[in-house]
Amino acid sequence: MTKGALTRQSSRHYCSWYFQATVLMPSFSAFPTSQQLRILLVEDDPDIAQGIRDHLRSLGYDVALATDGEAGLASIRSGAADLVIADRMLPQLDGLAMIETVRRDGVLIPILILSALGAVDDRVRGLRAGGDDYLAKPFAMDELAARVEALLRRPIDHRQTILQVGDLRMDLIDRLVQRNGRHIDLLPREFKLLEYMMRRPGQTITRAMFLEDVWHYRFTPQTNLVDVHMGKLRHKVDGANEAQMIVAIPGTGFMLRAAV
Amino acid sequence: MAFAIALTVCTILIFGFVYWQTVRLERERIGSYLTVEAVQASREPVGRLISILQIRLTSDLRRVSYGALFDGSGRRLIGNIVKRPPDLPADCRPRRLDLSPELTDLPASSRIMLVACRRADGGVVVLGKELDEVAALRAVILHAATLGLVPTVILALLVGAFLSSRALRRVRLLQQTIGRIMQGDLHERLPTHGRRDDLDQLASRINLMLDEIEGLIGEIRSIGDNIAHDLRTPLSAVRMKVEKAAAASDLTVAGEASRSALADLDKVFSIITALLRITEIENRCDADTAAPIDLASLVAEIFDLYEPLAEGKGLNFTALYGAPVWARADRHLLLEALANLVDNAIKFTPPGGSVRVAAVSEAALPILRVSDTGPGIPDTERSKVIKRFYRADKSRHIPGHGLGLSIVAAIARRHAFELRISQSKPGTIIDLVCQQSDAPLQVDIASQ
Repeated sequence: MTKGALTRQSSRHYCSWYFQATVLMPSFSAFPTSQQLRILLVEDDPDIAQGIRDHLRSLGYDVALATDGEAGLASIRSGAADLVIADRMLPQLDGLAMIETVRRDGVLIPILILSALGAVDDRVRGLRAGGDDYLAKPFAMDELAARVEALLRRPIDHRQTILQVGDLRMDLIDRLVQRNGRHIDLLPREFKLLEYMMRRPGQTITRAMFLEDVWHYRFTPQTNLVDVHMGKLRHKVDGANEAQMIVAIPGTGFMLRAAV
Repeated sequence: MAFAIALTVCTILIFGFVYWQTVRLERERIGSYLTVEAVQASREPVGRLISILQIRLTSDLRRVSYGALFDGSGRRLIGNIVKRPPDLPADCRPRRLDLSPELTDLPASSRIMLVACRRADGGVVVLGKELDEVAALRAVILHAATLGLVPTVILALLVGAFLSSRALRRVRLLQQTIGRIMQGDLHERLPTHGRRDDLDQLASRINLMLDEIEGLIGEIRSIGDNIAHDLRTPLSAVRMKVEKAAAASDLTVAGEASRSALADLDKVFSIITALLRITEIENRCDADTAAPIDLASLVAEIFDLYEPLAEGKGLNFTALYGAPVWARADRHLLLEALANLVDNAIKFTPPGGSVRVAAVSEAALPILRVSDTGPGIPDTERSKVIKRFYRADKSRHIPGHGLGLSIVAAIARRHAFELRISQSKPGTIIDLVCQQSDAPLQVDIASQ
């Protein structure tokens, strides 16, 4: 199983969903939006379900709960959700079976799988069944929120050759980065990191997301390498007298946003 | 029982063979004597031959000797054979014949060895001997066979019973021991008798297996202790902090304590994740994911990843690689192993020291080498560091789950690679000796 095939598969769901989403939400640059996004949580453990529901509600989402696979399936079919968070082990109908059924029906909403099984194989199985992302328990609420946000975001347009966030500008063809006309000299790895962030402005990106998406690592290094790399990048992007663009989100990750 | 029957059949066969051979030899001996005598007699002058025959026949009190001299017309000159038997040609060869009573003067007439020789004067000499002696021999052997067979069979039965009861006793002993082992007494070993027989060899193989199992269980047990210890420390800290948060009236104090507790919990999870990861690497049975990979590119990638960290710590971090060094491995796992080795080297080398990561080829073997100028690993602790959770005592204060080298060791085991730890002055050199591989026909640039 190659990672390439996986991302291709998940991005196919993603793209088709994108068309629906753009119709629903034509302008989608600021987040959270005025319209409440509806999340269906399929989880049988009441404590975890309540924790997730409270946290997501506090972030402004409308959260509905289903406690087994059958109920979850019925809810998804009624079209009452913009995103599904599904536990893998569910009574009645197993989480994976539920997702497979949903995908066979042609429903393309993003699905995030939660599981106590964190091994690579389980992850691959989950994504193959039709999940768009996979989060192993235990997880931090902020990690879940960041991934939900990423899944609900407008998909990245890879045809762009110039990225612009605030006064930061990146030319992908000439490999040039400028802030307010000041040229920023970046190493290739720093360029890669910044490009990833510039494609996701105003979005919390967790350390795990960096490791998975930028470095394509399937393991977690013991030392917090992401912070070290981010520190260097931040030093270059945010000059001495400039407002901060790269912000650390304590305990979670980082965000690139236009300087205020 | 089968043993007894087999032994009996064998004995009978042996006796039969002895009898057959003896009888044959005896007959040949008699036949050749008679032939020599008859040839000699055919050359004697008539008068002397007659007297010789007379002496021979009269001195034979047992009446087992036959002899006669016939002249050219077939008339008997002397002897106890009336007439030359028609089926006895005068060719000086021994023959076994039955002499009918009218042909001889002697009463017994069956089974006689006879030789007839023609003389120069046209007469025929006939000499013979009864084969009663052979018959007697047969009787003796048969007798001996019967006498010998009975004790042999009895002996066979007894020995068989003894041997099988002894084997049964040993098997029963083995069963009892196995029962005790199954009840949890893993120190128990199957008894061996120092004889290199089948049962002993089997028992010693099983004992070897038990040694291995006991070692593994011991390892698991100590892992359990270590987990308990390494988890208990952060967990009790979590408990304290949560207690503090619950009791706090001040919201900032409560928040501070909770955040600190969360950090401790993350540490607990990282230990559990690493343990699960080791198990996963060791037990993964998915398809072979090994492919030719270039160790030099791996070193370059890891160098790129860790350079800012080493720089931040004030280490002289260098990478040494040149032409591609091809090895056959799972790229992700090897990357993980190298990352862990470099992570450790950077963690344990004091500021101002140096860490070098290299891809080299020595004696046709591709090697990933990480060397540092850290405290080094004493000879006595080298095998221990690979064991799960082990950390040199001095380094207890350095953060980390202590499982880095165990993960590397598990990855090495999975690939059948060799993990070599040696001392440099000062510091440590760790070699991951890989299996050689040819360069792939086409380098997949997308995967690099």
